Amino acid sequence: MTKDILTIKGLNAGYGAVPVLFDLDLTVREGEIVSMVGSNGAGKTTLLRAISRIIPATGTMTFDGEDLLPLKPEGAFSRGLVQVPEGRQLFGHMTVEENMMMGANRRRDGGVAESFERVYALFPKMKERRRQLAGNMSGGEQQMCAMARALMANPKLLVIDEMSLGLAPVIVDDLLAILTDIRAQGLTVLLVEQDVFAAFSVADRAYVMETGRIVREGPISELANDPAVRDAYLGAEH
Amino acid sequence: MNRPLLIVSLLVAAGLATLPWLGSDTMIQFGINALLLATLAQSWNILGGFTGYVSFGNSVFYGLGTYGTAIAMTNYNLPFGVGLAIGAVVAMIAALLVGLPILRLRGPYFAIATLGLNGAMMAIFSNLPIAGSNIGLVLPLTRNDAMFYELALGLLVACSLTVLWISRARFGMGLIAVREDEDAAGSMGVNATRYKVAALVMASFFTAIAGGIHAYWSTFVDPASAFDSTLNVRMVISVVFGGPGTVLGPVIGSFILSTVYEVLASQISTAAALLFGVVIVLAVIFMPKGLADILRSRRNLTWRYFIRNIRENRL
Repeated sequence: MTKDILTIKGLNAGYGAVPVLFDLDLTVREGEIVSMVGSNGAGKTTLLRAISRIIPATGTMTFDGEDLLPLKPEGAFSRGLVQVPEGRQLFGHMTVEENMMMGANRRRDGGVAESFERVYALFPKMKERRRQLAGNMSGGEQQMCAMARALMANPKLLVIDEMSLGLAPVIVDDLLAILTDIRAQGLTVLLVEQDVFAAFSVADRAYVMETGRIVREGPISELANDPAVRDAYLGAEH
Repeated sequence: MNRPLLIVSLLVAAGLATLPWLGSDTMIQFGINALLLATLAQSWNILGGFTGYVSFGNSVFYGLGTYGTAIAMTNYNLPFGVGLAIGAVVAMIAALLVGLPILRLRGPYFAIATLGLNGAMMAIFSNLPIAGSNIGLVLPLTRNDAMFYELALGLLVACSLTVLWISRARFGMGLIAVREDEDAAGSMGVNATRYKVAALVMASFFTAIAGGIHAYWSTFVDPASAFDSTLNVRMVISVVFGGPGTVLGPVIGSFILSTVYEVLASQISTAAALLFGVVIVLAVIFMPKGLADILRSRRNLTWRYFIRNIRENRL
């Protein structure tokens, strides 16, 4: 289980003349949950945009043994790099089930029915609500629906942007538990979070980002005890 | 659309095909106009109904189909079928060239960009010697209304079957995703621009063929009738009246509106357009989702349905 699924080396990216990411290295191995934490404006979302091939980038990016840089967004998507976007971005006037169908819209294999069963097993609540309009559900349910939709694409790497945004802590705990279940099924997750407590409670490894650079990285046990990280993100106890 | 409804629709189409042997000349001529308008509405539905992009540029494709057929037949003595094909190809190329830049615009900006196209095309064709400039072209006369009727009916059936396929295919799901939320569609791996351009090209094909049939039938084309922006408005109205994004809605909607207009025009002539406007305003107030939404479930057909629509419209 040590195969690298996403390898990024020396990544530089930005918007037009404005550079945002500088010489960034990142590795995600198969079957682990890696979290990327950092404050507002650290460049987390820019990194995700570069990974999903929405903005141009230089450096090397390899996904599942294939060069990611020349791919278009839909190309990266069909190869199994699937995002749960920040703010959910559900199709509000469609039912939960239709939203999930949209996740499977680029699949050519016949496993969609099976995926439905698998995803409903992870999110029993979505099965109850499958006929309900996605826009009428609570924030937590919408986040579940967005994750369910992404899982329907049968991803190799699930990239989740700000999962905890605007949700009650109790709901965030539920979602984190589901992430653990997802990993137990062999899926790899890259979790981009501002809520460092939440991210560290579920991840195997983490990267800390500040102003477009990786400033710390390592297993959670190490980072959680790192004085600098504790001071900046977890609240010092002295 | 379920199977019984499809069978009934095909039976109705087969019934309509017998009209040239049963109906009067006036009926047949009304039928040709109604069928062509229904085809135009159905084509407009491909982009406008499924993606929600309101195009005022479809009359350009109609005009290109009209002129493609007319120029091929009068200047080069080519057969009608070849003329239709030329018109369709020109319109599809135009849709591709126009669609690639302006379908990157969103919402109202797209509509505004398409508004100018029609006027520009009319100005160009008014100054093209090959298209007869301002005077227009006269096509060879063929008095065979039955043929035109069957052609128009066949085109409408083909266009509707295409829309039926779209409503069931992955392609249609992508278009609907674009309508519901273009950003979310993007994050689900839908290349929105490519989907929209494909929809516009498909629409331009059927629109151009309809234009070509009308040109040969009416035997005369000029810039004002070929690039008629009110025709585009009628496409939009028919689709909105019938039910955007549905298979049968645009067809039924345009049939009803054609009939209403014809009846009004025969009864009170000049005031017809005014009353036609009243009918449309009432339709938009009471059933903004179109006829198809009412027909879909008969439970909806209570006064509560109409009250709810009025409330949602904040009137």
